[in-house]
Amino acid sequence: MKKLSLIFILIGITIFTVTCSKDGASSASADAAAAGQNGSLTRFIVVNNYLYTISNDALKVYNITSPSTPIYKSIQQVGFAIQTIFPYQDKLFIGSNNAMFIYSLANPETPTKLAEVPYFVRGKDPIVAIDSVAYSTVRNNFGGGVLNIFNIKNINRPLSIGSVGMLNPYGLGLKDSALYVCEADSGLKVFNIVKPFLPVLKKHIKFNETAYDVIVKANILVCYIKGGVALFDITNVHLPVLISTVKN
Amino acid sequence: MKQSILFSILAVLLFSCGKKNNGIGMVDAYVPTYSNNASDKQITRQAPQAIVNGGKIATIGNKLYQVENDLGIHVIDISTPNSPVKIGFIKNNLCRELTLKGNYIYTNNLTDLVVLDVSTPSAVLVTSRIDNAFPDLAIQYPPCTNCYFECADATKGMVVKWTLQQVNNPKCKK
Repeated sequence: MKKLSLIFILIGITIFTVTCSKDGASSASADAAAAGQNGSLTRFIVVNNYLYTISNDALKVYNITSPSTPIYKSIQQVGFAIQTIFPYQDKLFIGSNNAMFIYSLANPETPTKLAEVPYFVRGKDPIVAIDSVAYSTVRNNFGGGVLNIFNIKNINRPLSIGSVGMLNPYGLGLKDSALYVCEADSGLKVFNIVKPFLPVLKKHIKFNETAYDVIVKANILVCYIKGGVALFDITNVHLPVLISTVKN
Repeated sequence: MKQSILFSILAVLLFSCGKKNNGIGMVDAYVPTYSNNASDKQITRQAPQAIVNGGKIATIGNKLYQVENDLGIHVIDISTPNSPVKIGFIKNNLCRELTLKGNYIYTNNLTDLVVLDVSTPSAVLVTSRIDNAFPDLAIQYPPCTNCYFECADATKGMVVKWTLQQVNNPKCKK
């Protein structure tokens, strides 16, 4: 328990799961009008025929079977200072300043809480998850932070596996055996996650931009930077190549 | 009951508008602009605009959308990733969040949830609006720390903008 708490010491949580057949963190959609992809910092997501939104303290659900006209379905209190929401399979990962929450979407109109993992030290926490491993970043207010690694094989009891020290980490994204973590002024870091529980820093890309979040879109990594966006070619997932920026 | 009233008063004192201060003279302070409703709820398609305070991103197909915090959404064509092009802007007050499905954007307009049909590239159609779905997206405080501001007056409507001006004895500080 003590070890578990230690792992949650920093701010910002991103969880990824590693054996996804899809591109990283995109949400699944079976119907004709596919859902788009969001960065890990988002508060709104679409999963199949439902829109999920988080406010500071609550999760709201809308039915969007008819996409033009959402029908409000439910609200439930989650916690305090909720920051991010991330869909993975039939689960929602919700990050708050002091905890990570996992909800089941077995009943998509009224998600049910499966697990809550408290943090010792509060922070800002995007979350992404894929398969049996989840990665999260936690950012403190002093320019520091960590990348946390969780074993989520038993979704009801996430296990903290360890953490990697980071500089002011923000959003993250995942493709195949690559994990991308934004570090604001320090740029973008790429981890090799061939061994999912032992991420190894593969590349640190400093590109004179402040990087906040990423979306993996096939062979393109879309990066939200200060004042715009940057696009990287990730044909080689471990060696992103900056190909363009949109600023001003 | 008495206790809860006392607590409420205390809470109001603590959180209403930071510290009151008396007589500091002319200083830089943020001044709120209030919503006059109808026009502030208009969502319109416009020509591409500069990305100044870019925010969250979402993508579908060849389109990349980036929030311009509090002002709207940039529409970027990324069909040629080597040379992405801004192709439009969706004016949308207090915009902070967005997500996508097919030809629809789900976003906030002020504190409302709105659905935007963007199937026609030159236009934007609001197909649905749910009033005050996100009350905590209101901006009752200016985007600064250790700064003076005129206290927001809820009776005047919703704050849609904070402007830095010279103010004589501003009443609030945070």
